[in-house]
Amino acid sequence: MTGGVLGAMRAVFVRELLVFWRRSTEVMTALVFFLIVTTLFPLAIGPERRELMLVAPGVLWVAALLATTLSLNHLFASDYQDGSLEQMLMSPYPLSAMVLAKIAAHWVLTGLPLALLSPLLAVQMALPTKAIGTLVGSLLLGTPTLTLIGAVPAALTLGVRGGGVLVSLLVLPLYTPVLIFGAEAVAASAGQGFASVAHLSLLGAFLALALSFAPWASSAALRVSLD
Amino acid sequence: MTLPAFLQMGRFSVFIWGAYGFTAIIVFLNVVQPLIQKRKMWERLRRNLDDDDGGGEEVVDEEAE
Amino acid sequence: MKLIHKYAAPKRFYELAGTLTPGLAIITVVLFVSGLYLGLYWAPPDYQQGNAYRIMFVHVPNAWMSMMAYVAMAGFAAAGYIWNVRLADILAKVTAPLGASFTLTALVTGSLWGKPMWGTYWVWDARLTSELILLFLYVGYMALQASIDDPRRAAHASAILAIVGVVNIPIIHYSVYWWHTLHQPASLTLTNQPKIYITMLIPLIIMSLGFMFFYLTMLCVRARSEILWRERHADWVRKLVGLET
Repeated sequence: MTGGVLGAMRAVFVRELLVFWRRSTEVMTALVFFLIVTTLFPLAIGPERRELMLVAPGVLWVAALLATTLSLNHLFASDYQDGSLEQMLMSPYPLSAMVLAKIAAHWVLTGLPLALLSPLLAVQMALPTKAIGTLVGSLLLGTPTLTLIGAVPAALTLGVRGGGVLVSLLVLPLYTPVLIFGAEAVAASAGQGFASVAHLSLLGAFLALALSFAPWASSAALRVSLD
Repeated sequence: MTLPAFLQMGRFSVFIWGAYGFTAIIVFLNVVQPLIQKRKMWERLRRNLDDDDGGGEEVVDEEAE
Repeated sequence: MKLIHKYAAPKRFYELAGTLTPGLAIITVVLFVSGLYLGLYWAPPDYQQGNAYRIMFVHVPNAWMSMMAYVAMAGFAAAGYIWNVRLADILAKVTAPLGASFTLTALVTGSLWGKPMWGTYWVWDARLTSELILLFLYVGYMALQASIDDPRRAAHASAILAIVGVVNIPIIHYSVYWWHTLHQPASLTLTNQPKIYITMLIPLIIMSLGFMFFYLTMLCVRARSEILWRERHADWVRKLVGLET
């Protein structure tokens, strides 16, 4: 049975990757959004490196968070419209496992490229070189948490009027702990260099918590929405 | 203590009376809004289901208040 | 017979709340009046803050109630979701606007207290920041409730949101406190109050009880309306309205 579940999860994961690949514009939107928002900040603040360096951790993290939020709308919406979610509901495997596979695929296509792109933007924002590793690490730990938490509101607002804006309203307050520790980790390593380990391990703890809680909650939410 | 001195609250009158006043307004709105809502709802209930007026009218008013 | 059983609980609560409301309202008024007298007149001024600390008697009870109302809302919502109790759905729904107004009051009074203490209306104080996030959580809950028409689906969807929120609240709370201590400038905070004297504690407790009974009173009033509206096709409501005798 366990092998069956894993096999089904892998099938969902691969299918998601292929489907997303075909609709690559949607995947790119989040990435381009991340890029443009971080580019706008130096234009608004001014090109002075010292000032940019001061706000860089916060700006990069907020931009990553908003880009993730933006991509949440694509997580379930198309599957909801074409009815494949209902099929998933009727499959013999637990829905939460299927949802977890979907979330993982979604993260690979949105969160992961975002984390990999971030060094480029860090240079743009005059972040010290020694902090870039922490930035990538914190995004690698933080963005999956964001996607996991965000899956719950994304599932709750399926087929609801004004769903897109509602998702951001519901999800942003829940993101505050990740934002605080993510930006703080980057800021700490830009300053002294060592202090970021504690923050990164807390981000890891958040990820573990979200991994155990979010698939269950979002599959419950999907059941309500598809009822 | 005289009334003006009491109202002055040291030198913090604006903040203290502002805070208590805001609280009072919110409490007041919290009382009034459900009552208005209730009255509107009773009217709608009565109109939507309206078949015969008169007989039940007094009972209704008693319950509404 | 089954139908009667199905409608029994909300109807009984409607009647129970109707008999309780006047008593609760009287207790609320008595507590508020005595709390205001004790807080504004009887308690002596503080030697550090002068009279400004009297804002505490409205700020702190509202901050407490805002958290308690959220926990109560999540509890009702969970009961409604797990056991399919429609009364619990109703209680969760009508708690949200009350909790949001407690949160708003705590925020505004906190910032009015901050002005004489810090010299500015808004400081990213830990308590004010977490109250602000709590307000966003309440607004999100109410927005989700309002955007779904089917009452059952609305109740279940917002129940999941409330449960996720209540799991997150301690994490948010401690993150914000930690964040605040890290960035704290060497200045006053609301949490850095002078020692609480018994003359402060008595009005504080009475005002807190007052707000709690206020919540219970308004919970009864709002729940009664909501029950009546949801059960508008039931026989007992039609009888009450005067359509069937």
